[in-house]
Amino acid sequence: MIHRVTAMQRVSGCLIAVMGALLVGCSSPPPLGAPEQTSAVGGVDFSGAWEMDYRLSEQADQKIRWRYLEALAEEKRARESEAGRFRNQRGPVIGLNEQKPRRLAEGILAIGQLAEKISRSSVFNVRQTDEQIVIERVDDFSLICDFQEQATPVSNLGQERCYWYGQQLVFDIGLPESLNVRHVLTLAEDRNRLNVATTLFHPQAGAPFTLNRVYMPFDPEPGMYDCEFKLTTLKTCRMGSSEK
Amino acid sequence: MQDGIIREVIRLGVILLISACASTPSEVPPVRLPLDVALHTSTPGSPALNVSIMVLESGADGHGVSAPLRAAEALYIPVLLKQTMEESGAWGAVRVLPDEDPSAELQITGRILDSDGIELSLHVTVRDATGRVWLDRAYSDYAFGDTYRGELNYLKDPFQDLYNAVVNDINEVRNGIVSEQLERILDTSMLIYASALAPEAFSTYLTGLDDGQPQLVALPARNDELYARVRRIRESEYGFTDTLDAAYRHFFDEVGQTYTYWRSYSYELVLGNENLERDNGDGVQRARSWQVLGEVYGTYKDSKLNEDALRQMTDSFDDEVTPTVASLEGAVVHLTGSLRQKYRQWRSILKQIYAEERGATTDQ
Repeated sequence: MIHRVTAMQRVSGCLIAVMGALLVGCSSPPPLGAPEQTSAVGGVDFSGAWEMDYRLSEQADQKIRWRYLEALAEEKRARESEAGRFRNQRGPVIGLNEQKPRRLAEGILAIGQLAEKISRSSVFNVRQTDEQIVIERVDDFSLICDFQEQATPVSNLGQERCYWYGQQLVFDIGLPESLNVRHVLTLAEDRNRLNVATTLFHPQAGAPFTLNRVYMPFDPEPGMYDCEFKLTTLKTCRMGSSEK
Repeated sequence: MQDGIIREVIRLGVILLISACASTPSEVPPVRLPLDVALHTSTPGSPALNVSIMVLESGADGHGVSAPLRAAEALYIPVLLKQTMEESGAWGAVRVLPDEDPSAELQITGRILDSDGIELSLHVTVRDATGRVWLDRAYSDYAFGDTYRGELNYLKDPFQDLYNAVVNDINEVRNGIVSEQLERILDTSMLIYASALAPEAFSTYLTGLDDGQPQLVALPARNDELYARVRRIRESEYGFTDTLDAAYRHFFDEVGQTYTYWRSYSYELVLGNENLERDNGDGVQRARSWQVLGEVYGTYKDSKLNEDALRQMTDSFDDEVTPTVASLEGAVVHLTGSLRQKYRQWRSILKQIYAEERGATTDQ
């Protein structure tokens, strides 16, 4: 069991190393929940249409399985060590952390699966100006950051923050039930790949869970659907002309 | 001696009161007393004043919701206020307009102080054409626990009591005004309009225009042809502003259901965050099922998708450049751009036509 986990770790390590070589400026933003550092100014242009590069993106099921097994093993070790400690003591043995034997592992499974859902969007379009960035994700809500806002807005819906961290753009979302979500966008120097690291953290699930999804630029082909939104007609789409 | 005892008792009472307030634990949920106000209806007095409601200032201060959402609310809430005024039955035409109407008989302006599905707070100012302030105060209302249960319907607004309270207060001021004063408001409004069109002909009838406190000095003769024409032009303007007003109603109907859903998600999340803060304050970490996390994120995602839809609708409303054709004394006027741009174009065209005609008349 432990041997298998190590092998998976190696595969994942290689993947991360490949992405590390592709991407620049990948220092980590502050831990989730820590005060953000907004001193660094981005200046990175993420504009354009992006689609997922499945070859370079992390496989969610593999990573969840690996982290789940790792957590199970860790919990087993902890239980054994605790049992050993109690065996050396006199008197009745109480507790032994038996009430929630797989709490950590279950937590990893839960936030891992949620991370997979959250980072599922395979295509997005980025519109960026000096004042604002709008990341319109297919089948998901838009991530919007207003750079001009002096104070960090605290939304009622969740505690949302966005800021530049070096060359990375960070979106932090604090939700009820102590659920924290972070998206970190990092652009490769040659603009050929864009990494979106989605991290979920919950205090009862141990270490944060991160899924790296890598995107590549694409040109929306002429002839595809051409949609516009108007109040009078709502969303209307038509086939774009080939001359476009 | 007795005075000394009384003073001591009062002092102790004050100390007890203060300490009771100061010792309120921070984790106590905020007190939210919903308004319970029925709308008082009446028949329009004579004369009935026309009302112009300007779209609200969004009052985005970084707290609460995103700016695009506030922009949607700034267009949406005036329609509810208008409907409530119409329902009260005490008024002439009530119109929502993109800009302040300088010659409004009764002008309502306002600012959104807070709006998150649980609370709605507005600051409302009401002023008549003579510059008299009828109302200048803040209103707050809170949603009940079961407000968002069952089938949601935007036509049944959770904060209707707030609009009832505002309109009742306006009506109360209106009921205290005698008909001569109302006539004065109407005449002042008409002459402000006339002065804007032909200042050389009508500005002498008013003083204090620049200070926002116009005083009627005299009235034009009953058979003043120019004044009669200004009246006709104003009627044309009412036709045009009715189309602007209809556009806001259209917006209201389009975004209503989406906005109501957004409010219900917001309500759920705000309460969720507050519960969490209280739990954290106690140092108690709640052990709930992991499924709850998926539900929390689901609610958040749904609310954000609603926010996206509202943003799109508001942007579309602002950018809509469908030309409007308006009629002005038999002539056809083409107006383009946003509602605000059209409103400004209309006024500018009116002034221009009038100035040209006056110039031609003077030359002859």
